Amino acid sequence: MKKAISMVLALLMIFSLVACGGSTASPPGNTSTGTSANTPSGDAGAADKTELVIGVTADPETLIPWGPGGAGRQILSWNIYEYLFDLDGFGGDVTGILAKDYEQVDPFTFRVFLYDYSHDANGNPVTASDVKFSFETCMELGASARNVANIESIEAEDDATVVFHFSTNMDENKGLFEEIMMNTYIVSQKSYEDSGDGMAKNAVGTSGYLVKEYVSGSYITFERTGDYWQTDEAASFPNSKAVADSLKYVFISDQNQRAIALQSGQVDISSNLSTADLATFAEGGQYSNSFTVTQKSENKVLSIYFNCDESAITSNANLRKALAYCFDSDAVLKSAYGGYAQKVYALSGTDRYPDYNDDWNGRAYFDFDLDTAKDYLNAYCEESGQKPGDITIRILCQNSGVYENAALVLQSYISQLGVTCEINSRETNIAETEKFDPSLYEIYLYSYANTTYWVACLNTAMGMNQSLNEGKSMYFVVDSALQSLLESALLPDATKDDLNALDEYINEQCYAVGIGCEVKQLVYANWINGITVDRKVSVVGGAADFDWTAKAGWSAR
Amino acid sequence: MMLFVLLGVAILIFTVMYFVPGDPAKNILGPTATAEELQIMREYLGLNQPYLVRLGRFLYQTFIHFDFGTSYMTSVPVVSEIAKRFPVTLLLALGFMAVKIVVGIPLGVIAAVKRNKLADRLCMLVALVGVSLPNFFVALVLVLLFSVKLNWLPAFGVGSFKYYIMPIIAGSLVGLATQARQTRSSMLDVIRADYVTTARAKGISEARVIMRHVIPNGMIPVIQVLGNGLGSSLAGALVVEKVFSIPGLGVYLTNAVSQRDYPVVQICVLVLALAFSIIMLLVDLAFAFVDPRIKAQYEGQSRMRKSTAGAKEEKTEAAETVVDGLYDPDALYAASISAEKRASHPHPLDAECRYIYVLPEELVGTATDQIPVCPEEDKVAIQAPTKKNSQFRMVFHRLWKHNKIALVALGVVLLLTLAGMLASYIAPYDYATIDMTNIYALPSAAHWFGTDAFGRDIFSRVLYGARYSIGIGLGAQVLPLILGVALGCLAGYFGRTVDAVIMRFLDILQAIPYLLLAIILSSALGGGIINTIIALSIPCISNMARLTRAQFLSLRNQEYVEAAAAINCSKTRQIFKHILPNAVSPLIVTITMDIGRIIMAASQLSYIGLGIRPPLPEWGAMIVDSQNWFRFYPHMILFPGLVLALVVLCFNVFGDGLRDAMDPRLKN
Repeated sequence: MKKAISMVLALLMIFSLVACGGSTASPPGNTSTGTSANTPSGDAGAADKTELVIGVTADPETLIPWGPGGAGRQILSWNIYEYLFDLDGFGGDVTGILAKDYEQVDPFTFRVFLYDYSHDANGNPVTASDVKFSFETCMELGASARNVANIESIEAEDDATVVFHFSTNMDENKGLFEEIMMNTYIVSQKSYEDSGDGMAKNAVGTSGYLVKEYVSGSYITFERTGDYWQTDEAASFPNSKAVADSLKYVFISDQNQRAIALQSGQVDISSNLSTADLATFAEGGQYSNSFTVTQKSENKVLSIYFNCDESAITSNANLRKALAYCFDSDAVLKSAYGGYAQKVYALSGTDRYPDYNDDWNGRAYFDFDLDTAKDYLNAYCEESGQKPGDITIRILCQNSGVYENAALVLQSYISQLGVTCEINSRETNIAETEKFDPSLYEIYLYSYANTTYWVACLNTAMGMNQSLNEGKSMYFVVDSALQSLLESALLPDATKDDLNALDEYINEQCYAVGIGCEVKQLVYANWINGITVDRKVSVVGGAADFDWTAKAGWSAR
Repeated sequence: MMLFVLLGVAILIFTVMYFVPGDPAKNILGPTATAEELQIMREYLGLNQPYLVRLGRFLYQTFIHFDFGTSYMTSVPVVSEIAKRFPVTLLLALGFMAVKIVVGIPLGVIAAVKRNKLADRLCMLVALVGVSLPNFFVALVLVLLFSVKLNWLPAFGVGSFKYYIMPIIAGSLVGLATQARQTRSSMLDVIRADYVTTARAKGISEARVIMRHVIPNGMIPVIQVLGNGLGSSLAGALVVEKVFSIPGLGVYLTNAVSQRDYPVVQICVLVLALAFSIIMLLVDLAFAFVDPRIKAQYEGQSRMRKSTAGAKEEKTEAAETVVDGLYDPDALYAASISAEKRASHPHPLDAECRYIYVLPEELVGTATDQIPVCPEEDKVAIQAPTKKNSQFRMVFHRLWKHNKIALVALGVVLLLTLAGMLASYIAPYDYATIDMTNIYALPSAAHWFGTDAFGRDIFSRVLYGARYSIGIGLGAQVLPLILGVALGCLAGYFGRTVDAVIMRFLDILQAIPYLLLAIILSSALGGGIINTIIALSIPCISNMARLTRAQFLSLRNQEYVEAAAAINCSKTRQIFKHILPNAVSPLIVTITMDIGRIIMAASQLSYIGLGIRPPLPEWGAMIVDSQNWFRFYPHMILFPGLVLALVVLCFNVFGDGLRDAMDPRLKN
């Protein structure tokens, strides 16, 4: 018995020792809870340092510049690396960051001019050879860089000039050049090689911040270098600002916890909250005196894509139209995004795209009409000899809340036609695999987005040379007329009529139906005057404008 | 042996991941990758090679070169990530264990000492409530109370000790309950043992009896559960890690499973299996320290080496002493009926007075001096299980007489099962019918439990949910019953090589913690009722097989089995006619208690995003779907949560009652 007690006590001692040892990592947010958000964390010498704590949904898992494009990396990489070009804000113009400008030599060749004084946080200059190295390494790794496959070769003409030779005719692919330039981070070859791990943990980019500490799965902190290379205010890219001394991104996957973190003062900025929580922060809510809620519209449009393979019943246009008219987009958006969403009037159509036709807004676009839906269904039944009760529609989607909730409402509406409807929600990778098997679904629920143009976004899903289904679109459409219209609309000199014709044809054939896009709600403590988001609506912490002195008297209560 | 188990685990997990649908190359390259790009990536990762080549390479790199690879998704060496995360998970697991020791064991001891008194009921109620609540729900309630309302503890993350308080409380409740119940059960096993009675008879104080005789002798199963619990906690911490954003191994592994990051999954599982095996080894070693019988055995062997004859005399004397003590009718009963129990706890009487435990039931409770000596030739005939249903009648009688709560629990379960079966007729609404104009409605006459975020009637969904939740709990017992019992029968009956092969297979299966294996299988098989049932049932096979094997080992040498063999009864008939019916009682108890655990595991799968998918109204999934609203519309989570807790509680209460009723030593 004595030995048993001794063992128990020994275990308790070990446990308490280990528990004490665990405190080496600093806590997320501030070092204490609740109102401690008012007290800057860190040692005495760091008391005057400004710090923003941002609650985000996902961990980047790796800091490599060209790795798989998970949500976490997308949110955070901006604090480390920079592109050659980017949009100056969501839906904005293409603006140079590391590059000053570019010129098109011919449909296959572009010359890019770099700033000749750029350097990374280690002080290593970033020259044309580094740009070449970055693109070539990215192509070699293959990860998340599908568009770089269009590059045939790169040459560094001099330290500040890079020439890109493409294998694709850029005149026939509107936005592709920009897409490539805006999705490949540039690093110094020396820093990359010195890191020893491909910058997986020891990341060094050209931004104004350097990674200070990264606790995988918990948080990452950035410290301002104070030596950002772009000293010309006029040429400085808006999102490249480095205002706060340090930034801390805390990874909180649980939606409740993100709201609680704001309420308890553990984070200063967060997003992706439940509608119920948002109401507490919005005007009239319990926390409205301490927080500001701002809205930013996404350009990822939730849409239904019909499986148009000849073996699928949805290869019939009447059935597709029956399904398109049978649901209320508002109800779907309410369940998918809690109502924080904007209805769309064209497939993938939001006014964030420069080529989007604003005239489409408010037009009749597959508006909910059960009678029309039934008419189309009857027409299909007459053609096929089937009865509504014999028809089964399978909705394939990813097992995330947005898709599943949208699918639930769709299922309910489709059932009103007397048609059986099943939901097959799958893990992301399984859904992405199964969508290439036409025998597994009739409707695929998904959101596509593009950095540059509406037509480029359409091309991803509807283009017949864009997917694994050779000669068919992603959803098995084989239609030369559609392909021809797409090709015309993808030309740089495409007219409004070309785009209208494409839109009209897609709607006429009803290959897919856009439902809506999320209006993202960003919540931040009201000692922060304003926040900046990147083109993917992720908070750019370093560019936030705040009044640090106001934080002293701030309370989340 | 450990190496063999690890090798087996490596092959098993590699094979499962090989056949899991999903393509890592697609995850890396994104949804718009072309066929050519995918092909290049697959070649780069070596995914195009045949199964055997890949398996051979994996085993060679892992076991020969100790090259554990790098993550497909992050390009970070797996071992470096595990080195950071494993201590965090271990810390949590040790925290869970500490709570079990400090709270669970005392609760169990108090409950056993005060059996059937208020203290017992209260302790077990605390324990059972703990086991009946989903840990993610408890975690959120704790956060709401201690972080939001009281502002005492941080809501998430890692840091100083206070960051671990809520995760440890939330994560240890289930284990605490198991520990308390096991301790109580174990204490009850010994509390009425003859040597305890003797000690009391000698006038030793009750406290000393408990501390000196009961607790040390009851520690073996307690330590076993503790060790098992620590092993399982290493994987089971993942839900807590997810809720509290703790960067542990569980979250890393779960993400890797969904991303098909094979190197991460394979090495993480191997690390957990290694940790589990080491813990089990330590548990075995701990037995030698705490169990007086094992110590005595070693001491006895030592003495035997010195004087075999002398030791034999001591043993005979001991047996006679016990026989003297058997004039108490209760003790006689204990010695007479519980063949199964006695086989696992050898008693000197087995060797000396075997006829006593073949006592006909009508003579039970009679003093030994009034028991007629059984003629040697009649022993087998007397012991044969002539009254098949008598034990069940007796169990029911005991429950009726001593534990009506267990019968009430059974009634509740049966009622809810019936409600689930008849839900199509009695539910006022369809479970899937959406009414977006009536969302979050509070309970009313039209909607007794209110409506959810889709305007669906919660009462109807709860009724239908009984069909799915209880169905999963029961359905997940089918495979273990068929496969586990079959394997246990074969291993226990045939022994030798068959036993060795089956046991090694079971060792491999058992080395992967329950929830972890369920997650991997669920991910591999996909969602849906049947797949969820399969994913939850395969990890149960090992336990069921081991239990069946133990029963067979204890029964196969019984006289009636030997007699059956002697009259050329076929092996199949011996197994199915003579042994299996007598081995069934502990299996029933185990199944009853496992159902609650499986229902809870199903809810945890839902929390992780696996298992039952919408719109099916499985209770756990309903809780998960409503968790974002529970601070604003508590009714959405309250009713499914209450019913889930009630059913799990009832299964556990009934299981406890059944176990007590089947244990003759607890007759009174």
